[in-house]
Amino acid sequence: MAAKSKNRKQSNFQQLNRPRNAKKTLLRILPYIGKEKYLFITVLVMIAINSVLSITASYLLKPIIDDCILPNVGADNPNWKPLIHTLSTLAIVYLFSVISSYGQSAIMMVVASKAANRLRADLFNKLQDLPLSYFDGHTNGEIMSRFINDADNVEIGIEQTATSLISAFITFVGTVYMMIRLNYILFLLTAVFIVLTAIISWKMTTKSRVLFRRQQQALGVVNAYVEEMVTGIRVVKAFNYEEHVKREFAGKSGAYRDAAKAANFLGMSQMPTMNQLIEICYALTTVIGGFFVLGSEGIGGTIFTVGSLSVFLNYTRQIRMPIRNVTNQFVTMMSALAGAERIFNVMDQEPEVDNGTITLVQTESGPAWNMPDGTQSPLRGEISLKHVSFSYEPGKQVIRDMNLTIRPGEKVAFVGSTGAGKSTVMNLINRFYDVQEGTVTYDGIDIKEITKDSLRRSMGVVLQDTHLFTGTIMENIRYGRLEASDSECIEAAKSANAFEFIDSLPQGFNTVITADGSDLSQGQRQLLNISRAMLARRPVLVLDEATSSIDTRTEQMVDAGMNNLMAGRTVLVIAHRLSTVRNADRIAVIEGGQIIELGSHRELLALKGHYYQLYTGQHALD
Amino acid sequence: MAKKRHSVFSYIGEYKPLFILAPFLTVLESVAELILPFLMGKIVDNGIDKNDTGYMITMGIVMVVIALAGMAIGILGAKVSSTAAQGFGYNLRRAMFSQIQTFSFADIDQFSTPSLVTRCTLDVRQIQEVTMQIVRMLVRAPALMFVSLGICLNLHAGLSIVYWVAIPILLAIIVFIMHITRRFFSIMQKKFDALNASVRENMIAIRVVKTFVRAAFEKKKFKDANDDLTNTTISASLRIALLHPCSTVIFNLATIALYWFGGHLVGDSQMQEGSLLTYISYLNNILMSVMMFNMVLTRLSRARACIDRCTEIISHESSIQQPDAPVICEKSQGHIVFDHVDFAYPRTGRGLVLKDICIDILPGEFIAMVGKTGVGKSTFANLIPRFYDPTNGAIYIDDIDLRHRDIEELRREIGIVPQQNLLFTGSVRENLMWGNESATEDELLDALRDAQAYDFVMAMPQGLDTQIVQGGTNVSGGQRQRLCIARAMLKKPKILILDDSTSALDSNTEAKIRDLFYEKYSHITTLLIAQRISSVQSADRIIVLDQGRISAVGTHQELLETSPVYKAIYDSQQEGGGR
Repeated sequence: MAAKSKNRKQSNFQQLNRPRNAKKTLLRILPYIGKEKYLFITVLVMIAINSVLSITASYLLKPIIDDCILPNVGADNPNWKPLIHTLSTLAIVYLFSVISSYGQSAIMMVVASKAANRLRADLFNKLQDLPLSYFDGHTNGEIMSRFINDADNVEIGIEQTATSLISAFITFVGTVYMMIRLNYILFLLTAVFIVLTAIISWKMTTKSRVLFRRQQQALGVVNAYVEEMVTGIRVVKAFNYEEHVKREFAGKSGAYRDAAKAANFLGMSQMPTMNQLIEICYALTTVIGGFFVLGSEGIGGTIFTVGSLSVFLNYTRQIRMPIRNVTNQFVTMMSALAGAERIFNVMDQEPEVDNGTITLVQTESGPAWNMPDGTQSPLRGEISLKHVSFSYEPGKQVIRDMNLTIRPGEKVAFVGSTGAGKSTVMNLINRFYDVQEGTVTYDGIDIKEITKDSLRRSMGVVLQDTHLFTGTIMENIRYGRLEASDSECIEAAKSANAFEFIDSLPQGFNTVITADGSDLSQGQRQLLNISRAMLARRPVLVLDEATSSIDTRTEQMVDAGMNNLMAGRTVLVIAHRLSTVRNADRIAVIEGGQIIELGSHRELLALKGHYYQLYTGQHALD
Repeated sequence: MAKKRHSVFSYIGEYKPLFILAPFLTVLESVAELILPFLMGKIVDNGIDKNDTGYMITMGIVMVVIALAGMAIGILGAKVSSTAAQGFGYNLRRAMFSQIQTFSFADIDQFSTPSLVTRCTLDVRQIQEVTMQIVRMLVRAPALMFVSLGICLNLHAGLSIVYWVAIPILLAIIVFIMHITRRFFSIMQKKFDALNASVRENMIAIRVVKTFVRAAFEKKKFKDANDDLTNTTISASLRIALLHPCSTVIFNLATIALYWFGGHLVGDSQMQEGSLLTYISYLNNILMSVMMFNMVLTRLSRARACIDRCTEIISHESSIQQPDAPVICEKSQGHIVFDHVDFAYPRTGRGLVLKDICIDILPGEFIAMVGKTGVGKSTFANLIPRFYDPTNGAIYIDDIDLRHRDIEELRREIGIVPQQNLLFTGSVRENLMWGNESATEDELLDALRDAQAYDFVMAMPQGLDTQIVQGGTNVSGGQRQRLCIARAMLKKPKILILDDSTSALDSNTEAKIRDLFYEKYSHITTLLIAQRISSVQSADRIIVLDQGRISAVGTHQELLETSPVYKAIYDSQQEGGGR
């Protein structure tokens, strides 16, 4: 019995059309159990011991009445010694049986928990290596359900099915052996029914696999919807959309209910169907067995008596148990396999392409690129785009033949209307996405030749969407450089101008931030983001709308702090606010995926082109 | 907050008859199985012994028919059970989701999103499965037990003392083990939530993780949460696994006791050996039914935490309550009055975010708000649609205290473009329809034009039918803001709140949108929160918020002369200014 919640199933749409391979999945789960090889072998031994002990116990029970009790009936001097002796033996057998059965189930739980633990860890680790495009294409709810539901199903599956299957097998073989010994012709009848049961069960299995998959898909839709709507509940309320959302939810939830109903109906029908098939076999055996008793002198030399018939019939009923156990485990097994398959499916995704060989190293004279041949060249911070084109979706070019060289130590700002491709440039430079045409070079090196870790470690990137983690403010800032001391973190907060507000909180730097920092204002979160990047002290800094929610006065102070810290380093800034960009060395005006103007604030104003319009457009409203 | 406890089981609702029917079908099915050996006995006694082949064949056919009937009843039982269980789950899930929809922002903050998601999905499934098991075993197990006990009493009342000793001990053990495991299960659920939250956070912040090259750190963090969960699971499992061996020990001891005392009774000729055999074989029946009970109770104890967690949701009264008799607003104009409003976020332990706010915003006025980061601008905006209630003071719209107004009606009048603009999975069209479910194509296009979103939407290959992914991450920040503005416009609100929601727009686009509020939408009361002076300077009045208080109110020109805070913001945005 799992201590784990018995929950199952989740969805993924792409997998539905693919033929599933239960055997392959099973083989892939095995290594997860196999890690606990010795424990698993111990379990097997215990199951065997347990079976032997229960046979011994029933063997001991048989003679109790005949040999230990009946001789004392009416005796003047009853002798209870044999009874005491047998009962003591029995107690010892029981004791060992209880120990082995507890040991077996306890160990199996440990094995299953550990296997699930490893499975989740592998899955999580794999996710860290997947490219951003994977996350673009999958909702968080969808991915999370693999951790919540699927891993759990696998755990329950391992825990329950393995032991039941083994003991069912032992019982089955034993019973069949006894039946053949009693009357092999009657056994042929039983065999026909066993085969029939197996075929029907196989048919039902195949059908219910499809139904359970449908159920999982529907559940996935429900979970993803709950996730999205609960996350967006503020908008739901702002738009009075509660009723609509409830309706929509009822629809999705209803679809799940119907799918689950169909799947569970078939799943639960399997047991009575198989049970009663064996009962029919029992009825027929009674009649045919009766004819054997009446008509024959015995088969194979042994005489088939009424007694033999009743024993044989007992076995017929007994053989249901292993079959029933296997069927019982069926649903669990199927959802475990489906869950495992969905987990492996994520693990089989292509990881981020990373063929680079050049790494970033710290030398005495600062950061440097370490070439594969062992030579080193200092990091200067020159970034160059050469004939770069890129599109997220085929046929929709976002960047067209872009050329730009950012000189070491230069501060370059990107302005342009929304959707012009500014953020895309940043995504290409740190290789969230790979360019489709042209090259991006970093100190003259094609960035594809630099390992991704090194490339990203060389750049501090502050994104517009602020993401903080559960933990204290101090821990969140330290995310920028894990080995930084408290005073360094505080220093970074000061240069990002975040110190003032942090200090005013009752717990200061130890204030715990929860749920993506929702109790801080958007601007405060951006300040923390910037502190984090300041602390990281990367040779190149990329600010993608990093100050959009910060008031302009604070922004100026942030800027001053940053200039101090980033003196002589390359800085790339994306902003809409022209007050943010005008101090840059050069400003690149991007429209339609191309740089249409490039120059300093003054030069661009003198040009009286697009930038001039933007700038005066702002001022024309004075 | 008034607490009313609702039972999750009240959501069985219309499936009650099925829940009653299901156990009887289970009993019928087992009856069919019990009859067959009895008939077999008859075949042996009347058929084989008397050499009556006709009787044998007739009874054989009867047995087959009964088996077939058993099969039919079993299949019917499966149908009834699955319908009832899934129907109940559906009702419960729906009730919980609906309840969450009534929660205030403060309630959501309290429960946290991941925990709400787990409760609606995982916990409900668990409850649903347990309920089904209880129903199937509830009648069958006691029925079996009482029949067996009755027969035993009939055979020899004295010997039954073994049962009367064994059963209470067994029950005590079960209760004790349940008691010690229950705590572990609630801890386990918490660890599960923590794991969940850690994955969720990682997914949301994956870009940050990648830019800081923190994969290894994240893996370690996850490993800790994961191992923590596994360890708790194992401790809980090891305890709950004690149930089985403990009950087996009791029954084994009872078996030995029966042989010992029974043996003596037989020896003294007070009992026949056949009766002792029957006694012992019924021990099996009693064992089975107590075990079945045991199993159901185990599941119940596991589900206990889930039931508690779901009950918590169903019974949680929103901290923002619809008034019993809402005052109907006769003529809505969009007249907003803040009367000495203080506000502190509940449960954060932090001081007042807003202090003594008094402002009278006139119908149709275009009012702007500036102020430093974290000064309380968004909080101010969140009070108007009653997302939170003020800690002190009151807010009136059209002279009615917000707490006396119908919440839905109130929010219908207010269009809000939140700072964290959020779109939902679905087409652009579906997202816009949030503003007005019955909007015509023309209205949609108009709203897009007003929000300066028409051009880029039309440039997309599928236009209005372009699919937006969760959170709207497949359109740029500025596009998202414009779609959110269009969505709010479609609502045709009396009051429009733009909470720093034009920050990602270039100034030309922003100016075009702003112009609308002077011309086409001059009748709408507009509250614009912004950073750029250029965005706010044309407003009728500008509120300068400083340290949670209104430090000045006036037009651009007035403020330049009277408000040093405003002047400083202005200077910082002028060319070469500020430094």
